[in-house]
Amino acid sequence: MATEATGKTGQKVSTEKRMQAFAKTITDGASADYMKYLKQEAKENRIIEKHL
Amino acid sequence: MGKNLDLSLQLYKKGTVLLIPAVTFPGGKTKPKYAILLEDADVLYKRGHIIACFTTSKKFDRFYSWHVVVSAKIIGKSEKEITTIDCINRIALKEEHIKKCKFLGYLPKEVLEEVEEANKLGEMYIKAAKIKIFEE
Repeated sequence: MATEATGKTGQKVSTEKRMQAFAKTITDGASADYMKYLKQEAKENRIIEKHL
Repeated sequence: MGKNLDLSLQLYKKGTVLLIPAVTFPGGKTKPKYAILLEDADVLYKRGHIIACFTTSKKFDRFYSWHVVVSAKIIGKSEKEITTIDCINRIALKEEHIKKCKFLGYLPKEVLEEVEEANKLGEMYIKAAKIKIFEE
């Protein structure tokens, strides 16, 4: 969970912890839910770029 | 020589927090979008746009190295709430876009340092995973 990794009030994440998270993503890939979310956001971003 | 930048544009430094005016998406949905500039505005000289990433109130199922979880105070909400700056959820803002956004302030230095760190890892992941962020 993001809050577990970063602290509920959003404290700084150590470089080591961030690198561990990066290594995990390189190994496992991002979750399907996250990629779906990112794809939807990218669509909205294109709309904003065109209509702002 | 490039054209002169509007002086006010020079205030848009890396770490600037912006509220993007509401846009209606297909289906009639509108939602506020908050953006953090990942570059100083002088990049507009060279490229015509500047890269920003979005914050979101969404709680992700896991922590990614390109996420920075901060107090929602940075986007004018309660200090007790948290929001996530997602460094690979990106948008290219042109000069005219930036001027339509509401300027909310700057990220605190320590948060900006974390965003820079997170952004570098985000860049690496975009390249490694060949994620298409912008249309060519």
